[in-house]
Amino acid sequence: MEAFVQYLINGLAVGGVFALVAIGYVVVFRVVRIVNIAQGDFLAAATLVFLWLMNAHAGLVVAALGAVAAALVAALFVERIAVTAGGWYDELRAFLLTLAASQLIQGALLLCFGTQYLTMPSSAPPIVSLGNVHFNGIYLLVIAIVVVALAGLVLFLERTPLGWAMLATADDPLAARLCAVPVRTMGLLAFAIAALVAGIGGAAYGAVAIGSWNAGTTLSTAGFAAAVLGGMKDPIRAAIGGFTLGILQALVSGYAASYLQDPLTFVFLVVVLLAPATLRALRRRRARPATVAA
Amino acid sequence: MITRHPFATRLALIAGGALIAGLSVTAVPRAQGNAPYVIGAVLTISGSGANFGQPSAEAIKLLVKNVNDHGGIKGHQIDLRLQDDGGDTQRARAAFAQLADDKSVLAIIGSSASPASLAIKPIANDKQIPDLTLGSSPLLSHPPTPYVFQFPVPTSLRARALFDEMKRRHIAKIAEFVSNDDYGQVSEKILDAEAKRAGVALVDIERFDAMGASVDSEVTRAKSKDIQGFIVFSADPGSALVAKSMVNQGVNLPAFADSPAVNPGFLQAAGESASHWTVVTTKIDIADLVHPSDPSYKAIQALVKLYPADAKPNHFSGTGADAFNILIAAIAKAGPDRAKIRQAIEDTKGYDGVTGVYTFSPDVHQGVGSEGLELVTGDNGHFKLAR
Repeated sequence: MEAFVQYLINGLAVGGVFALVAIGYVVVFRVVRIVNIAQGDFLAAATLVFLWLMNAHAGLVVAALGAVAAALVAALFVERIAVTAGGWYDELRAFLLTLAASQLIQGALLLCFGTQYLTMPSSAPPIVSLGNVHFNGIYLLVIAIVVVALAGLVLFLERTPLGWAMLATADDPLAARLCAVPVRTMGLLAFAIAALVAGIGGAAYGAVAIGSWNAGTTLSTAGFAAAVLGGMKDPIRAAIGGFTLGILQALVSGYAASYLQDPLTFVFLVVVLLAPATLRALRRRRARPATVAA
Repeated sequence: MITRHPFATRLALIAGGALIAGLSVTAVPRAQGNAPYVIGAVLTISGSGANFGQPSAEAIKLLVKNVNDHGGIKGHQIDLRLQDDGGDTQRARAAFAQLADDKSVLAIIGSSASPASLAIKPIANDKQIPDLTLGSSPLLSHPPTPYVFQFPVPTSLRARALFDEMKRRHIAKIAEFVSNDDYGQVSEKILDAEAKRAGVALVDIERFDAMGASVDSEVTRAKSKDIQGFIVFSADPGSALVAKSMVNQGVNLPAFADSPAVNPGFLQAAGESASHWTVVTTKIDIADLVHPSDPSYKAIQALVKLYPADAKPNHFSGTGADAFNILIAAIAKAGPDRAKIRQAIEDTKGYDGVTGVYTFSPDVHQGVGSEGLELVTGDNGHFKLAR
């Protein structure tokens, strides 16, 4: 039982970071219909800048702002390449361009930070003990940050005129344009929100994990799987997907073997993608005899 | 389709192109006169093995500049053709074959990691060009093949040094953490053999993703097995990942790790618990502590002084430097002839290198033993000798 609780807490902390990547995917996909495969790289860039500033004793606030700025620069770069050059609603081209952009961001991080990875400046973290379960107290902070970021995003989308304009663009860009919604600006805003979320995620990830130039690949894959669970449309479901994947990975690592983590992510993706169609088919098959009888 | 900002887009693409181009470097000789001696290098400068390849490439570039600034090899400048294989075996093969087909290329250093080096090995022998590999798999030189020479200290000797230390400290039950890649797989077999030899029980084996987000669950499971310590053989940043998870759970057991752990990122991740870690490495990583009477002292100092004040060579720089220096000595002795250079490398005896003393022979193409190894431990953000 103690081990289970430990795995659960580990999974929630990592899952929280996956959730933030997933939310970034969903926001961009809804507004500009692009699967932005570089989303994990925004977070990797933010993590590195956050840790670099923390190690330069710039202070938590400056480091967090730096993380958001780094993610913003990466996001604007991808927006320029994928949306402007790729063209709105040319999904395949835009997807491939985000893939290229992901490699370019990793190349840029390699050039800026080298192969050296970074972590928080040396100091003992606050260890929280629940009986025989011990964990880094910052994990709780990470989970709280994800919940607050998610709540903020949902409030923004549902309670502010700008949020409504974004949702209108997401639902029907042509109608939104006819209603004088600046559709292109909404696309840019979607990337900016994805960057903000990645910046927050980068700071959270940096606080508990290791920043390296190529961490984005793992994060992008896991975040994408989680976003797909949310149907690529709902940030709340995407966040639940992130937490679920994090917990599943931690349980598999704990009870089976950690090298099954990556295959698990893909199994998760396949199951999530195939489950609705399979369920529909099963329902149809069950319904068919009744139709024949009628 | 829609290009409303063609200039901005073009600018972004040009910047991107420049980034990619920046990853593949060719050093052009400066001086004229005698025809330059062309040396190839296929190293992992980007991709998953960049942590191994970049330091080696940097050291080799600095050494080339140094040799050229001092008149080259008997008046011949060195023309370094450096290719990045991105950690991809196919790219490594293609780059190596292309260099080997150019008759002006005298020898090739590389690749950085074992999979790419193993892919290159048959081409080197087929095209009869000396290959000075920086990969550490025993399969690269056991059995020896005519044209392939191996430079890193064998994994088995590094593991043995750590298990001998455990024996000395009466540690009999440990958990093993190996990265889920080629390096980890090769290491696992070697660690198994060396643990048996030392009488240390491996009660838990964790194969983990060195690039994963966390190994918290693996550390939780390992510590539940009543272990006395950890051993980590992983590609970067695996050792730091394990150290971080141990810190996150307040685990303070002794831990042992292979040379990739010797870097500032690891020290940061381990924090105050770095003093519980013992890491096996070569003396270049503790250059300041090497005694002038040490056989490696001169080679280490010569390499260190090529670096700017804010940069330091590491273990991988040292291995690259040793391969380069032995190659240069062989070219100076044999002249621009691949077969004669091969022979001259094979004839190398008692060469005091950065990472150890190198001796090759027709039967031994893995040229270095354990004499260059040292055990280090963390101490207030630095490494010091373990004892």
